[in-house]
Amino acid sequence: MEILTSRERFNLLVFDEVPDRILVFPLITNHSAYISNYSIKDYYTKGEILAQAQINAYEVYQTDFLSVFSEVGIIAEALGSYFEYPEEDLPKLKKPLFSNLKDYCERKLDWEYNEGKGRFYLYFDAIKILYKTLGDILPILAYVPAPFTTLALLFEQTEILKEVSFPNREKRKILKELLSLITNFTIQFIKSIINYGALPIIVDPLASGSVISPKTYKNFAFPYEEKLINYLHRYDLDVILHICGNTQIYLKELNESTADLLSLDKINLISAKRFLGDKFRLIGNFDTTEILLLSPEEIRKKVRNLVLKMKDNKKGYILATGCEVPFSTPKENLFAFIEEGKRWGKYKF
Amino acid sequence: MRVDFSTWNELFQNIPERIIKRYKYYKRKEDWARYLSPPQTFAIYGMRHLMSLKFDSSLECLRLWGFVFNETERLFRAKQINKKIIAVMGDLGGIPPIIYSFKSLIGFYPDCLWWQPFFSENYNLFEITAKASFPETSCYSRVVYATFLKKAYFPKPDLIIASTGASCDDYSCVMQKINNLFYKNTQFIWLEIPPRKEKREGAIKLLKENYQKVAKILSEIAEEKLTMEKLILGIKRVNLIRRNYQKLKELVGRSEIAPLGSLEMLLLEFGNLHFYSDIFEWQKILLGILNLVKKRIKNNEGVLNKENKKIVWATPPADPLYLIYLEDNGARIVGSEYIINQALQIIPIEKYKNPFFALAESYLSASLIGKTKERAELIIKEIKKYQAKGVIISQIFGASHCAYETEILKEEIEEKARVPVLIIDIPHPSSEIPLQTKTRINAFIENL
Repeated sequence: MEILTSRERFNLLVFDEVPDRILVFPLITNHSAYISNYSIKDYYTKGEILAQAQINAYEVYQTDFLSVFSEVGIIAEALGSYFEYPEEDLPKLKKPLFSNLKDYCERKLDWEYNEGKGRFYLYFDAIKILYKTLGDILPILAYVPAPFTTLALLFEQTEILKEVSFPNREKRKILKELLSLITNFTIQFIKSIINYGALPIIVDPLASGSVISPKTYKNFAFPYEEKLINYLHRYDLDVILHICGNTQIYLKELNESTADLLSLDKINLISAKRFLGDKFRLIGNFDTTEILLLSPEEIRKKVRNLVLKMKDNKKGYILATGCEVPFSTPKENLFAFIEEGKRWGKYKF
Repeated sequence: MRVDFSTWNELFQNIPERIIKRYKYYKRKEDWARYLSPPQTFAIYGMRHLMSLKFDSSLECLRLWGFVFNETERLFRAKQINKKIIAVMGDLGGIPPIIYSFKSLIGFYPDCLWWQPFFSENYNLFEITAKASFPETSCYSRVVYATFLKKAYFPKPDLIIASTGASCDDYSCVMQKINNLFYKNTQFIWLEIPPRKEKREGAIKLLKENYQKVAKILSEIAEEKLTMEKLILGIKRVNLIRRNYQKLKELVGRSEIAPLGSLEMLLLEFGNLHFYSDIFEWQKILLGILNLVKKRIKNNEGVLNKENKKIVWATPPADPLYLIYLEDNGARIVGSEYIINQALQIIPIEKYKNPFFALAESYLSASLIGKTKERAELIIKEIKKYQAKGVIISQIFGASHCAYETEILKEEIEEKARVPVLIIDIPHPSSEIPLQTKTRINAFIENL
């Protein structure tokens, strides 16, 4: 038995203190359904199944956080985009709410927030169960898509990505107005999550450098991420910002974020440490393809290398996968990842 | 108004940013020194019990809650800004006036962490303590041992002061175990508490000498000379806090309506011990609440039903939910005897040339160093002063003093004050009060 609970360990980290070891956090989401033999559809549509799968995953792997995450369309869906839930596959955006900006301007949208919209119940039901069951010893992270990602899921994606990449003055105004409305709606969702006891983690996968340019990020993603961060800072919460994909090309923009913890994906984290490490607690970034495909021995070697180079990050470090652990990742691979992370991540305590 | 957890979340939306950023501890400007957070913030970091409690809806009380629950972080920040941390155990009131006479020292009470398992509804600290062979039949304060082991609730103290002699039996074992721990390079000193109030002169002399010894060690740690002027100034500051708390307690207890809930009063009473590790900020928080209460009385604004029956509560409840339950079911706490009487008394510096004598005399009013009958008198005094109709004594499951004194207290109170007494046990942490206890409390209130 370790001397600290994950909560105590996380609290020390955010107090700028050195805990007994680094926190270890493979982003286990639907993989927890896989090891529990639940159907993916149930995992994405039933809060009690999501919660039970997370509890099972914790019992198997002893990670330091619990994750409440559907897919990144949860807000877009609540606003009217239509998603399909195949029995054994990830949810798919079947029909976005709008086909293009013109379509948006011609229709009126109901911006009134209530907890009964879309699949918000999935989050709230899951958080309530997890908080009651394990909330005393584990932080519960609830993933909230940032406004840019929601925007992209309200439209045909190729259309909206074109619009944000080359907007004229009028379209820029419409886009900004729409992003503000999405931001206010998202803030209401965050307020509910906070009330149920989970720490919101802001995710902005469609603002990845693999999808948009630094300029688009600066204009249409960053300002609205910041509004969510400011709202969370009102509560004096420590804000985690997770961006999937390649963020190497806009490190400079990222450095201006007021988030407290940065979770990064496809980036050279060791070199990013020099640039971001004095300001942020860094989270990341074991390759998710590698965790699926490499042998446990190879994973151990790579984890050891990553941890030894990252654990001295000035503001602290959390070992994580760069993004979600793939659904059918072998358990042995995750055991290797977690054991090695805990083993080499120890501090003098 | 008393509001539940979710309502505070709604109310918090209306607080402007500039107010949130206004309140900071240790007179610091950095963002980390903020503490005006709603209960949600602390619930997210594990204080699960907050979801079941009710809170005063004023900004003044939000400030109180935020300040109290921020204390762990505050202590770590204190160490980070080179303050020296002094852990004071089992003394309950005599040492902090000396500590806070030094600029760079912060005193805190690890003892107060006995509430941690209840606020987090968690057994982990008990489990760790059990592994160190503490039996279940000892006071909940045994969890303090686990907090020392974990090093996650306060930074490594620069000095640990522990009481011996007329000190709590159970806690005495806890302190001895802590002394045997690994705290290399941390000085650990024992302070003897005299056992009998009857041998008053000898007791005062012993305490005075002990306090002087402690002051000398503190002076070395702080690298600051303690002059009599500084000590007197420190004591005056403490007296101001105690005086304001006395005024507050009188106003709340004597008022026809209840201008403040019992849970906030409990937090305020315990603030007299160590000022939640920042005496200057605590002074302002207390004054803010005193003014709020005056205003409420003037406007005839109460937080409970006017018809609620007045009672006195003796021995602090380990689980704060009991206070809320009592108020929701028709009672109101007008008086209290939470075993820290020594921290509520004005230190008589006018009476003595040497302030150490004044500290010693004040300490002799301690709730637990005399006969049980003397403690009964303290409770009876509260009953008479506030015209209470009954008394509830909460027992700390396994605490030795409860086992031997509670029945005597009950007999004394029933005979001399002629009011009924209900004795309840507070079981281990839980999100709910056992039905059996609820029924007993309801029946008791009905019969008042």
